[in-house]
Amino acid sequence: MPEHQHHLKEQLFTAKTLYRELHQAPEQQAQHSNAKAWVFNDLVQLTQGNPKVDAQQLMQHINQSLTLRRQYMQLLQQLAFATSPVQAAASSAASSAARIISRKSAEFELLFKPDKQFSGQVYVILKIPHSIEKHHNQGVRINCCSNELISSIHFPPIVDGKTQLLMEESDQKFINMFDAEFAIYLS
Amino acid sequence: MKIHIFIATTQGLVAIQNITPIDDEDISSVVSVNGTSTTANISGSYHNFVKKGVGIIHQMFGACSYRVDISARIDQGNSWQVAMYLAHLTQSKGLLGNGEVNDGDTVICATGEVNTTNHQILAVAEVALKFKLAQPQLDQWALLGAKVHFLLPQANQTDVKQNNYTLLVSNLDQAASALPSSTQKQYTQSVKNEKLVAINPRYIIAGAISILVLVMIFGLNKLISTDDISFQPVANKTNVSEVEPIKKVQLFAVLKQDKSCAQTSSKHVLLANKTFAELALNQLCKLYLQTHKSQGQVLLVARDAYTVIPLNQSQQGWQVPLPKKRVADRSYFLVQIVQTISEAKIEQLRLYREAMPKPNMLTESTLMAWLQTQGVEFSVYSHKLVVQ
Repeated sequence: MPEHQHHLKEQLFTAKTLYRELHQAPEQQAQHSNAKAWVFNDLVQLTQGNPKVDAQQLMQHINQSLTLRRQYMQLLQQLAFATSPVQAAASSAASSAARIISRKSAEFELLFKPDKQFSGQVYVILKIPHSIEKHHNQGVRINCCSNELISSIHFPPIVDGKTQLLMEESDQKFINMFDAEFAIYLS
Repeated sequence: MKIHIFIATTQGLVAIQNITPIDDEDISSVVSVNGTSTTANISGSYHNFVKKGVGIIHQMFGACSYRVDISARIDQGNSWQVAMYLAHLTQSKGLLGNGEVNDGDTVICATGEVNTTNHQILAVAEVALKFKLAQPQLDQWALLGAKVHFLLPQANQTDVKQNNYTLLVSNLDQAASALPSSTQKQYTQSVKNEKLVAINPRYIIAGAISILVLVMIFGLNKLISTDDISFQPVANKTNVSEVEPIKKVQLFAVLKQDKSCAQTSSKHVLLANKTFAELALNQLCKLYLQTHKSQGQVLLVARDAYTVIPLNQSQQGWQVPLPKKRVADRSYFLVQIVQTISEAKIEQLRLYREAMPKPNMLTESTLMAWLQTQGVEFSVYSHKLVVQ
Protein backbone atom coordinates (compact mmCIF):
# COMPACT_ATOMS: atom_id res chain seq x y z
CA MET A 1 0.00 0.00 0.00
CA PRO A 2 1.39 3.43 -0.90
CA GLU A 3 2.34 5.48 2.11
CA HIS A 4 0.04 8.36 1.31
CA GLN A 5 -2.97 5.99 1.32
CA HIS A 6 -1.96 4.63 4.70
CA HIS A 7 -1.83 8.20 6.02
CA LEU A 8 -5.23 8.88 4.57
CA LYS A 9 -6.77 5.98 6.50
CA GLU A 10 -5.12 7.15 9.67
CA GLN A 11 -6.38 10.68 9.11
CA LEU A 12 -9.91 9.41 8.45
CA PHE A 13 -9.85 7.35 11.64
CA THR A 14 -8.65 10.35 13.65
CA ALA A 15 -11.21 12.65 12.05
CA LYS A 16 -14.06 10.21 12.80
CA THR A 17 -12.95 9.79 16.38
CA LEU A 18 -12.77 13.53 16.90
CA TYR A 19 -16.12 14.02 15.18
CA ARG A 20 -17.69 11.43 17.48
CA GLU A 21 -16.24 13.15 20.51
CA LEU A 22 -17.50 16.52 19.32
CA HIS A 23 -20.92 15.07 18.54
CA GLN A 24 -21.31 13.36 21.91
CA ALA A 25 -20.03 16.20 24.04
CA PRO A 26 -23.22 18.32 24.05
CA GLU A 27 -25.32 15.30 25.16
CA GLN A 28 -22.94 14.56 27.99
CA GLN A 29 -22.92 18.22 28.99
CA ALA A 30 -26.71 18.17 29.02
CA GLN A 31 -26.65 15.14 31.32
CA HIS A 32 -24.30 16.97 33.64
CA SER A 33 -26.51 20.04 33.68
CA ASN A 34 -29.55 17.86 34.65
CA ALA A 35 -27.79 16.54 37.76
CA LYS A 36 -28.71 19.03 40.41
CA ALA A 37 -25.93 20.65 42.31
CA TRP A 38 -26.80 20.28 45.98
CA VAL A 39 -25.81 22.95 48.46
CA PHE A 40 -25.58 22.87 52.24
CA ASN A 41 -28.86 24.73 52.51
CA ASP A 42 -30.63 21.77 50.89
CA LEU A 43 -29.44 19.61 53.77
CA VAL A 44 -30.71 22.17 56.26
CA GLN A 45 -34.08 22.34 54.50
CA LEU A 46 -34.42 18.55 54.46
CA THR A 47 -33.46 18.38 58.13
CA GLN A 48 -36.22 20.85 58.90
CA GLY A 49 -38.73 18.78 56.95
CA ASN A 50 -39.30 21.22 54.10
CA PRO A 51 -41.50 19.23 51.68
CA LYS A 52 -40.30 21.26 48.67
CA VAL A 53 -36.89 19.61 48.76
CA ASP A 54 -36.56 16.61 46.44
CA ALA A 55 -35.97 14.27 49.35
CA GLN A 56 -35.59 11.08 47.35
CA GLN A 57 -32.72 12.38 45.21
CA LEU A 58 -31.04 14.18 48.04
CA MET A 59 -31.21 11.13 50.33
CA GLN A 60 -29.65 9.05 47.57
CA HIS A 61 -26.87 11.60 47.37
CA ILE A 62 -26.44 11.67 51.14
CA ASN A 63 -26.18 7.89 51.31
CA GLN A 64 -23.46 7.90 48.65
CA SER A 65 -21.29 10.50 50.35
CA LEU A 66 -19.75 9.98 53.78
CA THR A 67 -19.17 13.72 54.19
CA LEU A 68 -22.77 14.60 53.40
CA ARG A 69 -24.00 11.86 55.73
CA ARG A 70 -21.91 13.21 58.59
CA GLN A 71 -23.13 16.76 57.92
CA TYR A 72 -26.75 15.58 57.72
CA MET A 73 -26.41 13.62 60.96
CA GLN A 74 -24.95 16.67 62.72
CA LEU A 75 -27.81 18.81 61.45
CA LEU A 76 -30.39 16.25 62.61
CA GLN A 77 -28.83 16.13 66.07
CA GLN A 78 -29.00 19.91 66.28
CA LEU A 79 -32.32 20.68 64.61
CA ALA A 80 -34.62 17.65 65.01
CA PHE A 81 -37.95 18.19 66.76
CA ALA A 82 -37.66 14.89 68.62
CA THR A 83 -35.42 11.84 68.70
CA SER A 84 -35.58 8.21 69.66
CA PRO A 85 -32.12 6.71 70.08
CA VAL A 86 -30.95 3.25 69.08
CA GLN A 87 -32.96 0.91 71.28
CA ALA A 88 -31.23 -1.26 73.83
CA ALA A 89 -32.15 -4.82 72.98
CA ALA A 90 -32.66 -7.33 75.75
CA SER A 91 -32.77 -10.11 73.20
CA SER A 92 -29.79 -12.43 72.93
CA ALA A 93 -30.15 -12.59 69.15
CA ALA A 94 -28.05 -9.50 68.73
CA SER A 95 -26.97 -10.17 65.18
CA SER A 96 -30.41 -10.20 63.60
CA ALA A 97 -32.40 -7.05 63.08
CA ALA A 98 -34.45 -6.59 66.24
CA ARG A 99 -38.03 -5.63 65.35
CA ILE A 100 -39.73 -3.45 67.93
CA ILE A 101 -43.46 -2.85 67.99
CA SER A 102 -43.44 0.82 68.95
CA ARG A 103 -41.23 3.76 69.75
CA LYS A 104 -42.15 6.15 72.45
CA SER A 105 -40.60 9.37 73.68
CA ALA A 106 -41.84 12.39 75.59
CA GLU A 107 -42.66 14.12 72.29
CA PHE A 108 -44.09 11.35 70.13
CA GLU A 109 -45.25 7.77 69.82
CA LEU A 110 -44.74 5.68 66.70
CA LEU A 111 -46.58 2.40 66.37
CA PHE A 112 -47.93 0.12 63.69
CA LYS A 113 -51.00 -2.06 63.35
CA PRO A 114 -51.45 -4.69 60.64
CA ASP A 115 -54.37 -4.40 58.24
CA LYS A 116 -56.81 -7.19 59.01
CA GLN A 117 -57.94 -7.69 55.44
CA PHE A 118 -54.76 -7.23 53.42
CA SER A 119 -51.97 -9.23 54.99
CA GLY A 120 -48.61 -7.61 54.44
CA GLN A 121 -49.97 -4.09 54.81
CA VAL A 122 -49.60 -2.07 57.99
CA TYR A 123 -50.89 1.21 59.33
CA VAL A 124 -48.01 3.21 60.75
CA ILE A 125 -49.38 5.69 63.23
CA LEU A 126 -47.42 8.68 64.51
CA LYS A 127 -48.87 10.50 67.50
CA ILE A 128 -47.50 13.89 68.48
CA PRO A 129 -49.55 15.27 71.36
CA HIS A 130 -47.89 18.68 71.33
CA SER A 131 -47.09 19.22 67.70
CA ILE A 132 -45.81 22.48 66.27
CA GLU A 133 -47.37 24.58 63.53
CA LYS A 134 -45.35 23.17 60.64
CA HIS A 135 -46.55 19.65 61.49
CA HIS A 136 -50.09 20.81 60.77
CA ASN A 137 -49.14 22.54 57.53
CA GLN A 138 -46.41 20.51 55.90
CA GLY A 139 -46.48 17.19 57.73
CA VAL A 140 -43.73 15.36 59.58
CA ARG A 141 -40.49 13.87 58.28
CA ILE A 142 -38.98 10.86 60.01
CA ASN A 143 -35.30 10.07 59.49
CA CYS A 144 -34.12 6.59 60.42
CA CYS A 145 -30.36 6.52 60.92
CA SER A 146 -27.92 3.67 61.34
CA ASN A 147 -24.15 3.67 60.90
CA GLU A 148 -24.46 2.65 57.27
CA LEU A 149 -27.73 4.11 56.07
CA ILE A 150 -30.18 6.94 56.51
CA SER A 151 -33.74 6.56 55.25
CA SER A 152 -36.30 9.30 55.30
CA ILE A 153 -40.08 9.20 55.09
CA HIS A 154 -42.70 11.91 54.99
CA PHE A 155 -45.99 11.69 56.90
CA PRO A 156 -49.06 13.79 56.03
CA PRO A 157 -49.98 16.77 58.21
CA ILE A 158 -50.97 16.08 61.79
CA VAL A 159 -54.72 16.02 62.46
CA ASP A 160 -56.11 15.51 65.97
CA GLY A 161 -52.60 14.89 67.27
CA LYS A 162 -51.78 12.07 64.87
CA THR A 163 -50.92 11.14 61.33
CA GLN A 164 -50.59 7.81 59.58
CA LEU A 165 -49.28 5.99 56.55
CA LEU A 166 -50.42 2.75 54.98
CA MET A 167 -47.28 0.80 54.09
CA GLU A 168 -46.12 -2.59 52.89
CA GLU A 169 -44.59 -4.63 55.66
CA SER A 170 -41.70 -5.46 53.35
CA ASP A 171 -40.93 -1.78 52.66
CA GLN A 172 -37.36 -1.10 53.81
CA LYS A 173 -38.40 2.28 55.21
CA PHE A 174 -40.99 0.60 57.41
CA ILE A 175 -38.46 -2.02 58.53
CA ASN A 176 -35.96 0.71 59.46
CA MET A 177 -38.52 2.62 61.52
CA PHE A 178 -39.08 -0.36 63.78
CA ASP A 179 -35.53 -1.66 63.78
CA ALA A 180 -33.98 -1.25 67.22
CA GLU A 181 -30.61 -0.53 65.62
CA PHE A 182 -31.88 2.60 63.91
CA ALA A 183 -32.13 5.93 65.72
CA ILE A 184 -35.09 8.11 64.76
CA TYR A 185 -35.15 11.87 64.24
CA LEU A 186 -38.41 13.72 63.71
CA SER A 187 -38.56 17.05 61.97
CA MET B 1 -77.62 -9.23 42.52
CA LYS B 2 -75.01 -6.65 43.45
CA ILE B 3 -75.08 -2.89 43.58
CA HIS B 4 -72.00 -1.24 42.14
CA ILE B 5 -71.25 2.31 43.20
CA PHE B 6 -69.06 4.54 41.05
CA ILE B 7 -67.73 8.02 41.70
CA ALA B 8 -68.00 10.25 38.66
CA THR B 9 -64.77 12.22 38.32
CA THR B 10 -63.22 14.46 35.71
CA GLN B 11 -60.97 11.54 34.77
CA GLY B 12 -63.82 9.04 34.33
CA LEU B 13 -65.68 6.66 36.62
CA VAL B 14 -63.95 5.33 39.72
CA ALA B 15 -65.39 2.18 41.31
CA ILE B 16 -65.77 1.80 45.05
CA GLN B 17 -64.53 -1.76 45.27
CA ASN B 18 -64.72 -2.55 48.92
CA ILE B 19 -65.40 -1.03 52.32
CA THR B 20 -63.95 -2.59 55.46
CA PRO B 21 -64.67 -1.32 58.96
CA ILE B 22 -61.40 -0.86 60.86
CA ASP B 23 -63.08 0.43 64.01
CA ASP B 24 -59.84 1.22 65.78
CA GLU B 25 -59.54 4.67 67.29
CA ASP B 26 -55.80 4.71 66.63
CA ILE B 27 -56.25 4.19 62.90
CA SER B 28 -57.71 6.96 60.77
CA SER B 29 -60.04 6.15 57.90
CA VAL B 30 -58.19 5.64 54.67
CA VAL B 31 -58.93 5.45 50.95
CA SER B 32 -56.55 3.12 49.15
CA VAL B 33 -56.14 2.47 45.45
CA ASN B 34 -56.87 -1.05 44.18
CA GLY B 35 -56.14 -2.72 47.49
CA THR B 36 -52.53 -1.52 47.52
CA SER B 37 -50.79 0.56 50.14
CA THR B 38 -51.05 3.58 47.83
CA THR B 39 -53.51 5.97 49.38
CA ALA B 40 -55.63 8.50 47.54
CA ASN B 41 -55.16 12.16 48.37
CA ILE B 42 -58.76 12.35 49.55
CA SER B 43 -57.96 10.07 52.52
CA GLY B 44 -57.81 13.01 54.92
CA SER B 45 -61.14 14.41 53.70
CA TYR B 46 -62.69 10.95 53.86
CA HIS B 47 -61.47 10.58 57.44
CA ASN B 48 -63.34 13.79 58.27
CA PHE B 49 -66.41 12.55 56.38
CA VAL B 50 -66.42 9.52 58.68
CA LYS B 51 -65.47 11.25 61.92
CA LYS B 52 -68.22 11.76 64.46
CA GLY B 53 -69.09 15.39 64.98
CA VAL B 54 -67.71 16.47 61.62
CA GLY B 55 -68.83 13.74 59.24
CA ILE B 56 -71.79 11.40 59.06
CA ILE B 57 -70.49 7.88 58.44
CA HIS B 58 -69.49 6.93 62.00
CA GLN B 59 -72.79 8.18 63.30
CA MET B 60 -74.80 6.38 60.64
CA PHE B 61 -72.93 3.11 60.23
CA GLY B 62 -71.28 2.54 63.59
CA ALA B 63 -67.54 2.01 63.09
CA CYS B 64 -65.20 4.87 63.92
CA SER B 65 -62.88 4.22 60.98
CA TYR B 66 -63.04 2.46 57.62
CA ARG B 67 -60.80 1.41 54.78
CA VAL B 68 -62.24 2.04 51.33
CA ASP B 69 -60.66 0.61 48.20
CA ILE B 70 -61.25 2.47 44.98
CA SER B 71 -60.20 1.60 41.44
CA ALA B 72 -58.22 4.76 40.63
CA ARG B 73 -56.76 7.78 42.34
CA ILE B 74 -58.93 10.72 43.29
CA ASP B 75 -56.77 13.66 44.17
CA GLN B 76 -59.03 16.49 45.17
CA GLY B 77 -62.54 17.81 45.69
CA ASN B 78 -65.50 16.53 47.71
CA SER B 79 -67.83 15.37 44.95
CA TRP B 80 -67.12 11.75 45.96
CA GLN B 81 -69.21 12.17 49.13
CA VAL B 82 -72.64 11.17 47.81
CA ALA B 83 -71.25 8.03 46.17
CA MET B 84 -69.33 7.18 49.33
CA TYR B 85 -72.46 7.51 51.46
CA LEU B 86 -74.38 5.24 49.07
CA ALA B 87 -71.52 2.73 49.11
CA HIS B 88 -71.65 2.59 52.91
CA LEU B 89 -75.41 2.16 52.82
CA THR B 90 -75.07 -0.66 50.28
CA GLN B 91 -72.18 -2.27 52.12
CA SER B 92 -74.17 -2.31 55.35
CA LYS B 93 -76.65 -4.61 53.57
CA GLY B 94 -73.92 -6.79 52.12
CA LEU B 95 -74.85 -5.82 48.57
CA LEU B 96 -71.86 -3.71 47.53
CA GLY B 97 -70.30 -4.96 44.31
CA ASN B 98 -66.65 -4.62 43.39
CA GLY B 99 -67.16 -2.63 40.19
CA GLU B 100 -67.26 -5.64 37.87
CA VAL B 101 -70.81 -5.38 36.56
CA ASN B 102 -72.85 -8.41 35.52
CA ASP B 103 -76.29 -8.87 34.02
CA GLY B 104 -79.00 -7.99 36.54
CA ASP B 105 -76.75 -5.86 38.73
CA THR B 106 -77.49 -2.26 39.58
CA VAL B 107 -75.00 0.49 38.82
CA ILE B 108 -75.15 3.83 40.56
CA CYS B 109 -72.77 6.55 39.47
CA ALA B 110 -72.90 9.67 41.57
CA THR B 111 -71.36 13.05 41.99
CA GLY B 112 -72.20 15.54 44.70
CA GLU B 113 -70.97 17.01 47.94
CA VAL B 114 -72.85 16.49 51.20
CA ASN B 115 -73.70 19.14 53.75
CA THR B 116 -73.02 16.98 56.79
CA THR B 117 -75.26 19.09 59.02
CA ASN B 118 -78.55 18.97 57.13
CA HIS B 119 -77.73 16.14 54.66
CA GLN B 120 -78.49 18.29 51.65
CA ILE B 121 -76.54 17.58 48.47
CA LEU B 122 -74.55 20.53 47.23
CA ALA B 123 -73.72 21.49 43.64
CA VAL B 124 -70.33 20.47 42.26
CA ALA B 125 -68.23 21.56 39.30
CA GLU B 126 -67.66 19.88 35.92
CA VAL B 127 -70.79 17.72 36.01
CA ALA B 128 -71.18 17.90 32.22
CA LEU B 129 -67.63 16.61 31.70
CA LYS B 130 -68.11 13.85 34.28
CA PHE B 131 -71.28 12.67 32.57
CA LYS B 132 -69.71 12.86 29.11
CA LEU B 133 -66.81 10.70 30.24
CA ALA B 134 -69.13 8.23 31.96
CA GLN B 135 -71.73 7.89 29.20
CA PRO B 136 -70.03 5.26 26.97
CA GLN B 137 -69.58 3.04 30.01
CA LEU B 138 -73.17 3.60 31.13
CA ASP B 139 -74.40 2.57 27.67
CA GLN B 140 -72.29 -0.57 27.80
CA TRP B 141 -73.66 -1.59 31.20
CA ALA B 142 -77.22 -0.88 30.07
CA LEU B 143 -76.67 -3.15 27.06
CA LEU B 144 -75.32 -5.79 29.39
CA GLY B 145 -78.64 -5.78 31.25
CA ALA B 146 -77.72 -3.78 34.32
CA LYS B 147 -79.89 -1.06 35.80
CA VAL B 148 -77.92 2.14 35.50
CA HIS B 149 -78.42 5.49 37.24
CA PHE B 150 -76.35 8.63 37.21
CA LEU B 151 -77.06 10.76 40.29
CA LEU B 152 -76.31 14.46 40.19
CA PRO B 153 -77.22 17.31 42.50
CA GLN B 154 -80.51 19.07 41.84
CA ALA B 155 -78.56 22.31 41.78
CA ASN B 156 -76.62 21.02 38.76
CA GLN B 157 -79.72 20.19 36.70
CA THR B 158 -78.90 22.70 33.97
CA ASP B 159 -75.46 21.14 33.41
CA VAL B 160 -76.71 17.87 31.94
CA LYS B 161 -79.67 17.28 29.65
CA GLN B 162 -82.11 14.87 31.27
CA ASN B 163 -81.89 11.32 29.93
CA ASN B 164 -82.58 7.71 30.88
CA TYR B 165 -79.71 7.59 33.34
CA THR B 166 -79.84 10.88 35.20
CA LEU B 167 -81.53 11.30 38.55
CA LEU B 168 -81.57 14.67 40.26
CA VAL B 169 -81.17 14.50 44.02
CA SER B 170 -81.22 17.24 46.59
CA ASN B 171 -80.61 15.30 49.79
CA LEU B 172 -79.31 11.96 51.03
CA ASP B 173 -82.81 10.55 51.46
CA GLN B 174 -83.45 11.01 47.76
CA ALA B 175 -80.05 9.58 46.88
CA ALA B 176 -80.75 6.47 48.95
CA SER B 177 -84.04 6.01 47.14
CA ALA B 178 -82.07 5.25 43.97
CA LEU B 179 -81.17 1.89 45.51
CA PRO B 180 -83.14 -1.14 44.26
CA SER B 181 -86.83 -1.25 45.09
CA SER B 182 -86.58 -3.99 47.75
CA THR B 183 -84.54 -1.70 49.92
CA GLN B 184 -86.20 1.45 48.71
CA LYS B 185 -89.61 0.29 49.95
CA GLN B 186 -88.32 -0.15 53.44
CA TYR B 187 -86.46 3.11 53.21
CA THR B 188 -89.54 5.06 52.10
CA GLN B 189 -91.50 3.59 54.94
CA SER B 190 -88.97 4.81 57.47
CA VAL B 191 -88.87 8.25 55.87
CA LYS B 192 -92.61 8.42 56.17
CA ASN B 193 -92.41 7.55 59.84
CA GLU B 194 -89.84 10.25 60.37
CA LYS B 195 -92.00 12.77 58.59
CA LEU B 196 -95.02 11.77 60.65
CA VAL B 197 -93.09 12.58 63.78
CA ALA B 198 -91.37 15.61 62.38
CA ILE B 199 -94.42 17.23 60.84
CA ASN B 200 -96.81 16.43 63.66
CA PRO B 201 -95.24 17.12 67.03
CA ARG B 202 -98.79 17.05 68.31
CA TYR B 203 -98.63 13.23 68.18
CA ILE B 204 -95.71 13.29 70.58
CA ILE B 205 -97.48 15.66 72.97
CA ALA B 206 -100.66 13.56 72.77
CA GLY B 207 -98.63 10.42 73.53
CA ALA B 208 -96.96 12.03 76.49
CA ILE B 209 -100.30 13.20 77.89
CA SER B 210 -101.73 9.68 77.49
CA ILE B 211 -98.85 8.19 79.46
CA LEU B 212 -99.29 10.84 82.16
CA VAL B 213 -103.00 10.04 82.41
CA LEU B 214 -102.22 6.32 82.69
CA VAL B 215 -99.77 7.01 85.47
CA MET B 216 -102.33 9.08 87.31
CA ILE B 217 -105.02 6.40 86.94
CA PHE B 218 -103.01 3.28 87.75
CA GLY B 219 -100.34 4.76 89.95
CA LEU B 220 -96.62 4.34 89.66
CA ASN B 221 -96.49 1.13 91.65
CA LYS B 222 -98.42 -0.82 89.06
CA LEU B 223 -96.25 0.41 86.24
CA ILE B 224 -92.93 -0.01 87.98
CA SER B 225 -91.97 -3.30 89.53
CA THR B 226 -88.94 -3.53 91.78
CA ASP B 227 -88.63 -7.27 91.96
CA ASP B 228 -85.30 -8.11 90.35
CA ILE B 229 -85.05 -11.87 90.66
CA SER B 230 -88.62 -12.98 90.35
CA PHE B 231 -89.81 -13.76 86.86
CA GLN B 232 -91.51 -10.85 85.21
CA PRO B 233 -94.83 -11.24 83.48
CA VAL B 234 -94.48 -9.24 80.32
CA ALA B 235 -98.09 -8.63 79.52
CA ASN B 236 -97.95 -4.92 80.41
CA LYS B 237 -95.91 -3.73 77.51
CA THR B 238 -95.70 -6.80 75.35
CA ASN B 239 -96.96 -6.27 71.88
CA VAL B 240 -100.59 -7.08 71.20
CA SER B 241 -99.64 -9.57 68.51
CA GLU B 242 -97.82 -11.73 71.00
CA VAL B 243 -99.57 -15.08 71.37
CA GLU B 244 -97.68 -16.76 74.18
CA PRO B 245 -96.40 -14.33 76.81
CA ILE B 246 -92.76 -14.82 77.72
CA LYS B 247 -92.73 -16.36 81.16
CA LYS B 248 -89.37 -15.30 82.57
CA VAL B 249 -86.77 -12.88 81.43
CA GLN B 250 -83.67 -11.99 83.39
CA LEU B 251 -80.50 -10.10 82.71
CA PHE B 252 -77.61 -11.99 84.22
CA ALA B 253 -74.41 -9.99 84.84
CA VAL B 254 -70.98 -11.43 85.59
CA LEU B 255 -69.03 -8.79 87.52
CA LYS B 256 -65.40 -8.31 88.46
CA GLN B 257 -64.47 -8.92 92.06
CA ASP B 258 -61.17 -7.09 91.78
CA LYS B 259 -59.47 -5.34 88.88
CA SER B 260 -59.71 -8.18 86.40
CA CYS B 261 -62.29 -10.77 85.42
CA ALA B 262 -60.20 -13.57 86.93
CA GLN B 263 -62.47 -13.59 89.96
CA THR B 264 -66.09 -12.79 89.40
CA SER B 265 -69.42 -12.59 91.08
CA SER B 266 -72.79 -12.65 89.39
CA LYS B 267 -76.18 -11.13 89.87
CA HIS B 268 -79.54 -10.75 88.23
CA VAL B 269 -80.25 -7.21 87.17
CA LEU B 270 -83.27 -5.39 88.43
CA LEU B 271 -86.08 -5.26 85.91
CA ALA B 272 -88.70 -2.56 86.15
CA ASN B 273 -91.26 -1.72 83.50
CA LYS B 274 -89.31 -3.58 80.81
CA THR B 275 -86.20 -1.59 81.63
CA PHE B 276 -83.21 -3.26 83.25
CA ALA B 277 -81.29 -1.31 85.85
CA GLU B 278 -78.14 0.43 84.65
CA LEU B 279 -74.84 -1.39 85.00
CA ALA B 280 -71.34 0.04 85.35
CA LEU B 281 -69.24 -0.84 82.32
CA ASN B 282 -65.97 -0.98 84.21
CA GLN B 283 -67.26 -3.73 86.52
CA LEU B 284 -68.77 -5.87 83.84
CA CYS B 285 -67.21 -9.09 82.52
CA LYS B 286 -70.12 -10.75 80.79
CA LEU B 287 -73.79 -10.12 80.30
CA TYR B 288 -76.53 -12.56 79.35
CA LEU B 289 -80.22 -12.25 78.69
CA GLN B 290 -81.92 -15.33 80.09
CA THR B 291 -85.25 -16.15 78.54
CA HIS B 292 -87.79 -18.89 78.35
CA LYS B 293 -86.36 -21.86 76.46
CA SER B 294 -88.88 -21.64 73.65
CA GLN B 295 -87.59 -18.21 72.73
CA GLY B 296 -86.49 -18.07 69.08
CA GLN B 297 -84.15 -15.13 68.82
CA VAL B 298 -82.84 -12.05 70.59
CA LEU B 299 -81.63 -8.95 68.78
CA LEU B 300 -79.57 -6.13 70.21
CA VAL B 301 -80.62 -2.82 68.70
CA ALA B 302 -78.35 0.03 69.73
CA ARG B 303 -79.96 3.35 70.54
CA ASP B 304 -76.80 5.43 70.16
CA ALA B 305 -75.56 3.79 66.95
CA TYR B 306 -77.05 2.01 63.95
CA THR B 307 -75.96 -1.39 65.18
CA VAL B 308 -78.36 -4.34 65.00
CA ILE B 309 -76.83 -7.62 66.20
CA PRO B 310 -78.49 -11.02 66.55
CA LEU B 311 -77.25 -12.46 69.86
CA ASN B 312 -75.64 -15.86 70.22
CA GLN B 313 -77.10 -18.31 72.69
CA SER B 314 -74.91 -20.09 75.22
CA GLN B 315 -75.66 -22.16 78.28
CA GLN B 316 -75.96 -19.06 80.44
CA GLY B 317 -78.31 -17.35 78.00
CA TRP B 318 -78.14 -14.90 75.11
CA GLN B 319 -74.75 -13.26 75.35
CA VAL B 320 -74.84 -9.48 75.06
CA PRO B 321 -71.61 -8.26 73.40
CA LEU B 322 -69.86 -5.61 75.47
CA PRO B 323 -68.29 -2.54 73.84
CA LYS B 324 -64.54 -2.74 73.22
CA LYS B 325 -63.98 0.87 74.20
CA ARG B 326 -65.64 1.54 77.49
CA VAL B 327 -65.41 5.29 77.28
CA ALA B 328 -69.03 6.29 76.81
CA ASP B 329 -72.45 5.24 78.05
CA ARG B 330 -74.18 2.75 75.75
CA SER B 331 -77.96 2.43 75.44
CA TYR B 332 -79.71 -0.35 73.63
CA PHE B 333 -82.86 -2.40 73.25
CA LEU B 334 -82.99 -6.15 73.56
CA VAL B 335 -85.72 -7.50 71.31
CA GLN B 336 -86.99 -10.94 72.19
CA ILE B 337 -88.64 -12.64 69.25
CA VAL B 338 -90.59 -15.85 69.65
CA GLN B 339 -89.86 -17.07 66.13
CA THR B 340 -86.47 -17.19 64.46
CA ILE B 341 -86.39 -14.45 61.87
CA SER B 342 -84.41 -14.47 58.65
CA GLU B 343 -81.17 -12.59 58.05
CA ALA B 344 -83.06 -10.63 55.39
CA LYS B 345 -85.45 -9.32 58.02
CA ILE B 346 -82.55 -8.36 60.26
CA GLU B 347 -81.07 -6.49 57.30
CA GLN B 348 -84.39 -4.74 56.84
CA LEU B 349 -84.27 -3.65 60.46
CA ARG B 350 -80.74 -2.33 59.90
CA LEU B 351 -81.96 -0.45 56.87
CA TYR B 352 -84.82 0.98 58.84
CA ARG B 353 -82.34 2.19 61.47
CA GLU B 354 -79.91 3.61 58.95
CA ALA B 355 -82.61 5.62 57.24
CA MET B 356 -82.96 7.66 60.43
CA PRO B 357 -80.87 10.84 60.24
CA LYS B 358 -79.65 10.24 63.80
CA PRO B 359 -79.43 6.91 65.62
CA ASN B 360 -80.99 8.29 68.78
CA MET B 361 -84.22 8.95 66.87
CA LEU B 362 -85.15 5.33 67.52
CA THR B 363 -87.63 5.10 70.37
CA GLU B 364 -89.23 2.09 71.90
CA SER B 365 -92.51 2.93 70.20
CA THR B 366 -90.99 3.34 66.72
CA LEU B 367 -89.11 0.07 67.14
CA MET B 368 -92.28 -1.68 68.25
CA ALA B 369 -94.20 -0.17 65.36
CA TRP B 370 -91.66 -1.58 62.93
CA LEU B 371 -91.69 -5.01 64.59
CA GLN B 372 -95.48 -5.10 64.39
CA THR B 373 -95.30 -4.73 60.62
CA GLN B 374 -93.13 -7.86 60.45
CA GLY B 375 -95.80 -10.21 61.84
CA VAL B 376 -93.60 -11.53 64.65
CA GLU B 377 -94.25 -12.00 68.33
CA PHE B 378 -91.87 -9.97 70.39
CA SER B 379 -91.00 -8.09 73.57
CA VAL B 380 -88.70 -5.11 73.86
CA TYR B 381 -86.44 -4.39 76.84
CA SER B 382 -84.28 -1.34 77.42
CA HIS B 383 -80.90 -1.26 79.07
CA LYS B 384 -78.04 1.14 79.59
CA LEU B 385 -74.39 0.51 80.38
CA VAL B 386 -72.78 3.47 82.06
CA VAL B 387 -69.23 4.71 82.53
CA GLN B 388 -68.45 5.49 86.13
